[in-house]
Amino acid sequence: MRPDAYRFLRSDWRRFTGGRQDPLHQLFERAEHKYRPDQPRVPQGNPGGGQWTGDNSSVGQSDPRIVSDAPDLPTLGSQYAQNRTRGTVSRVLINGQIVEATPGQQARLAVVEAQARDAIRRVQELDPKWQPTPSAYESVEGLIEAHRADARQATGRISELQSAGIGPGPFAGDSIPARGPDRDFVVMERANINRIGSETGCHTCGTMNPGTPLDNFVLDHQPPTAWNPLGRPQRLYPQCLSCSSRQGNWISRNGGRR
Amino acid sequence: MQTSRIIRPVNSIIFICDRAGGTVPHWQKDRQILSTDSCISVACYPEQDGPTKVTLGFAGEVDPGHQADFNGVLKAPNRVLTVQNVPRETLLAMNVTKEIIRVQVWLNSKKWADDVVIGVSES
Repeated sequence: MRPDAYRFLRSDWRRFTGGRQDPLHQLFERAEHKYRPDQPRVPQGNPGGGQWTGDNSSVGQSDPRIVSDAPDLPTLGSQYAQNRTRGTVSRVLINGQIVEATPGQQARLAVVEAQARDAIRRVQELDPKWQPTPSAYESVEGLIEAHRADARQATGRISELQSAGIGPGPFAGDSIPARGPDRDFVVMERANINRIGSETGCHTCGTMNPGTPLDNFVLDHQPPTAWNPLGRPQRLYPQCLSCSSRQGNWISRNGGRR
Repeated sequence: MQTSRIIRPVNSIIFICDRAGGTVPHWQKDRQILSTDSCISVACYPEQDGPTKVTLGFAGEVDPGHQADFNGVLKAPNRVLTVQNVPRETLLAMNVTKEIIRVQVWLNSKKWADDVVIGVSES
């Protein structure tokens, strides 16, 4: 193991290993704690010469627990773990049956599960009842792919909502806090939204043209008042008339107020 | 009997449909009036620029005298025709005697209508 192996470790590497008994965990722990750049080497000419050694250890003694001296330690352990055939095997419950998962699978499962959970949470902030279409799976790899499918569905739903004007759009720049859900806007709010609109355009489509007879941008509440089931604080963004109309149509087609 | 209301509807659109709602037509860019057999959407004057007057009544009473911008039939299974906004709140309503009625819509401008007249015929 290279002396600066600790530099290649993520701070949250413990999330991806199988606990203290997992050789991968032990390896990373050693990389994190046991070696220092100034650690002495066995002098040349001695058995084991050139190897790193402890300050007080006998010359040439190597640690039998070290399983790899690969020059580059993997950052996440996923590729490394995939190639491992031995190691701690954990169990995952799939369709009521216990299925064994390798540490590599555990690591990938943890990552894709977290990604899917995060993507679904972002959708449900705007659409609390939304759920991804369930996938059928019978293996750990199937479960991993199911989580990936969930994340893809959630990402697609977010894009759909954004294009319909639900949630700050891809062109959102600055915004101002809304005093409430009402549309009793004051002159300063209108002026600020027009200023922001002239700088960054419609937050949904990016156009600089409000498309209105007096060239005023629509003051768009986000989340939209009719689509704010969790009662989250709202902000005002500039929106063009066309996107505003599309947003209203979409909300109505999806049942109106939530 | 006709009823009128001056409004600044959210998203600058209103829907004409049965009180229980209807199938909202898919949005199309630059179209003032869109319809399905159970719902008509009408673009109003942009809300942040000014109000829109909406009138609902029998066609014989409200006909402004020029060709209607929309003329079609609409399902009203509950026999109550309504004008609703985006959150599906009822802005105007009128009772009708048939479940399928003819609806005409007149706008005072081809682009920025601030006077929307909705006429109903039951014959």
